[in-house]
Parts: sequence; C-alpha cells; structure tokens
Amino acid sequence: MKSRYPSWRTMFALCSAVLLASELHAGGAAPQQSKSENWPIIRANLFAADREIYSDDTISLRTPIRADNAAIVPVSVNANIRQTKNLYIKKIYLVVDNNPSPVVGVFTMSQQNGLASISTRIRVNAYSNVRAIAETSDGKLHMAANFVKASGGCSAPAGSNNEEAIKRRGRMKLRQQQQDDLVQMQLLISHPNYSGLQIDQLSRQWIPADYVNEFRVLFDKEEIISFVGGISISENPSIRFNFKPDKKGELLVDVKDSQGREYRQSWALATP
Amino acid sequence: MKHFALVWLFMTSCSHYACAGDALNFVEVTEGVFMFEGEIKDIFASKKGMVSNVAFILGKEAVAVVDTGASFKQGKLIHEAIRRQTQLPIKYVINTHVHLDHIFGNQAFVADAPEFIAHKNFPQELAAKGPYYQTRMQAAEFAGSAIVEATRLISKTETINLGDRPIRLIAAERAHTNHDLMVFDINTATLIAGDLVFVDHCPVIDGSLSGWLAVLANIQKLNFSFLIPGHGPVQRNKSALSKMTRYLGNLQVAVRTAISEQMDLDTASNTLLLDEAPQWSLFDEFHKRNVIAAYTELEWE
Repeated sequence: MKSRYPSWRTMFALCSAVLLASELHAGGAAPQQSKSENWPIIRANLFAADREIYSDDTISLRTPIRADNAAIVPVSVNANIRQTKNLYIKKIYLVVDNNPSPVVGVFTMSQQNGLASISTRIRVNAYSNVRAIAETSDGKLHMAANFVKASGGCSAPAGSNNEEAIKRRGRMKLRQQQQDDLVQMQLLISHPNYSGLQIDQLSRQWIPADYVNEFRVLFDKEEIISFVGGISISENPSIRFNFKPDKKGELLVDVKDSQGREYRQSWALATP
Repeated sequence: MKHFALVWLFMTSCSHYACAGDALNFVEVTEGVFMFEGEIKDIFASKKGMVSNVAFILGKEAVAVVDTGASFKQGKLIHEAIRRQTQLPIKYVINTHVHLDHIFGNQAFVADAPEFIAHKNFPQELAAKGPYYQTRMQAAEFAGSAIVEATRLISKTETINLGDRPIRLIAAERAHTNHDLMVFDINTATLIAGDLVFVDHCPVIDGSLSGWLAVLANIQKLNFSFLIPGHGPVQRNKSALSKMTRYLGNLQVAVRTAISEQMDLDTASNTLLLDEAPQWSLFDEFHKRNVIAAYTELEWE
C-alpha cells in the first residue's frame, strides 16, 4: 500500500478492535450524543494521543436526526474557512463510531477546492455518532459530530437500483455548476458497493465485499480531491465537492475498487 | 337460565375458536370475493399488526387466497375466516410481493398443501429480504412466522381456475417492487392489485418510480368493477389511481428538476412536495424515503 494513504492494515485492525468492543458492550445503556465506547479506540488508531482535537467552528456537519433510509444517509461537511495558501483544510476524516468498519473514509483536499465542503451518502448500521474531523494545513484537528438514529444500513439488502448499478458498474457522471467563484461538482460512480454484509439474491450466500476504495479527481494532471475508504459508502457512490479553477482544462477521474478494477473517465471543465 | 346458558356458550366458543375480538372482519366485496381491510398504520406501530389488505376468492371447486398478513397468527385468523365461508380446498396462496406485511401468514396454509404462487423475481427477493425481516420480527406477535417458498412462479400472465372461476395472474415490470403480481377475477372484473395501488396510505417506492408510473398507466386502461388495493378501502372507480399517479408524477418532475439544479439529496428529501402531506396517511413515515428512492433512480437517467 502506498504510503500517502492510511494503511488498510490499520483500518482492518481498527475494524476488528471495534467489533470486539461492541461485543463486550452489547446491551449497554441507551446511546447518548457525546458518549461512545468505540470512539477512544478509533481515535487512538487514527491520531497520535498527544494531538488535540478542537471542537471549534472550522467545519460543521449536517446529518439527519433520524435517517429515512439507513443505507443512504446524506452527510454534508461544510467548511467555514476558505482554502487559502496560509491556511486550508488538507484532509477530512469521516467516521461512524458504531459501524462494523467505522472509518467511512479519508478525503484529501487541495487549495484548488476554494472551499473544502463535501457531501456524500453513507450507510449507518446502528444508532451512532457520525463525525467529521478536518486536518488543517497548520496540523490542527477540528471535529464536528452529530448523533444519527439509523440501523441496518450496512447489512440491508441491496436497494432497488442494484441491478442497474451492476450493469453500469464503473460508469460515472460529473455534474458541474458554477456558483459565484466556485464550480460545484457532483461525482457519481455506478457501483453496487457491496459491504460484505449483504446476502446474494441468486446464490443466497454472503456477497463478498466489493466496493470503491479509492478515487482521485485530477485537473490537468494535478490532484484536486481524492478519497480512500471502505464499505460504509452507499451503493452508487456520490460525492459533492467544490473546485475553483483559474484556467480551462480537462478533469480526469480515476476510480479503483476493492476487487482491483479500475475505471477512468474525463470531462472538459464546463465553465472557464 | 336460558340466557345464562347462551352467555356461557358464547364464552366457551370465544376461548375455543377465534375470539370475537380477534376474528377478522372479511367483507364480501362482490359475489365470491372477500376482503379484509388492514389498518392504515406502520406495522410496528400497529397494535394488532394487520396493516395490509387480504382477499380470498371462492370458486365451485377451490379457494384462492391473496396475501396472508404479517404473521403465522394472522395467517391462522385468515384461514379461520375462510373456513367460516367454505370447506372447499384452499388450492392457491398468491403472494403479491415479498414485503413482510403480505407474506408471513403463509405458514398457516402449508398444511393445506396449496400452490404458493408469486412473481418470477419473488424467490430472489425472499432470499435477500426474508431473513432480514425475521430479525425485525422478534415480538411474540410474530412467533412461528416461517419463510415459505413459492412453488409456482409467474413470468408474464397465467390463468388458474377455481371451478367456473378463471383467475388471471399478471406479473408486472419493476414498479412498487421488482416483483409485483396482480390478480384479476374475470367473472366479477375484480382487480386485486397488491401494493401496486395504495389508497389513502402514502405510496412506498421500493422498485422504480418511472416503472411504477408506466404500470399505473396500464392499470388505468383495465376495465374493472372493483379494485382491491394493497392498503386502503376497495375502489369502484379510478379516482384513487389518478390520485396516486398525480403524486408519483409530481414526484418525478420535482426530483428531476432538483437533480438538474444540483439540489442535494438531503435538501431534496426535506423540501420537495411537502404540500402533499394532507393528502396521505403515513406521509411523514414514507415520503422522504420516496424522494431518496426517486432521486437515486433518476440521477442515472
């Protein structure tokens, strides 16, 4: 595994540690917003113990209080600071404390985002805190967290779009819309994103995990956003982000999934 | 003394057979077609959990039952209700689709050895969803509610005969789910639509919004005298169909517009078509979910 990403070994080790913890604490007290059995373990795996995590207003997090569909829970991380040379958001970690694999993923941002807000759709398997932790270019960590009531999102049978998702696997859409000085982009990747916790409808066996674990968006060969993550992203991954272009050029998206498939598609930047 | 005996008899029958409070009130919609109208409530919020409609049709030689409720217990009550009308064999149990409020009474009919009839996509869906439903059915109410496989699958249309009573079975394309089966009693022109038709109860999309609109357009063209929906009262005209079509059509337009304007999923599900709320029961439970389903379908058009 390339060193620029957190190691998968770490993530899987983390996963089993948390599973063990949830077994130990099964049947515990009703969930509360700030209390989490799993968070200390997740935190210890992601960040050095001496790094302080500030609960300030660098970012805010928007999630539903109760999810209407636990397999498709919309999550928005809003950046409250602009991306400037002096200070910008470098990484955004997305965590669901009580998911079988709690680290949804890590987004690597760039100054070219202009504003490092992102939104995506995730699976939530049990009532849980959902957290976004932003790492700014000065090395500080900033967290926003909400409690979300949802359950069964990782093991729920594939949705009604599953058949199409397989037929279109790897097909992408990139929607672009100018909003003041930013281009709002939505990247859609058709992929069933199997969590490994769902039952196959034909063989009636567990479907092996098969999900998008990496993507990069390049503009004229320069990376503007990338993602590495796991099974908690919903079927047909959708990611919204901003881009502040200073010239015309070509956008290239490179997607890899956990089965080793690779997909590429490119678009011209729609607006100058 | 005589009066006392009557009271005693009533009390005994109540403990031995279905108690008056439990027995299901089936109404004869038209000659030989009986319907139980479920309560319009979320299944886990309902006290008795009988939230879907059930029907049975009597022929000269046999009985067909369409959907069996949400539990073994409910299935037994349906069985008893049929036996109060006839001793003819129950030869067909038809499941309109796999949702748990429609299938988990099947077990109560296994001893009759009927054909269990369903859409060709039913077995896969049952495999995928059945065990998941069972994890949610831990309450004592649901005890004994086993998964019963379909024994006869319909891929397009087929006809069964109950004895001078031909019944058309019509498999739909992806609509409410990807495996909706309709039942049409030719003699009385009664359409048992399953959850392809919701009346009063907010429609629930678990298949395809665009597909459902196409299937509804076909149902509009059918000549029926009676329409038994999956939820809500029996219909004698097409106004309920029009109301559903309007809601789903408006949803399609609103969601397409939202997608083209790059409105995000969360905003869409929290803002679109909220003025429909007074039109539907259980709107808060299902409408936002419908927006999410519509959005994730239509964004790939």
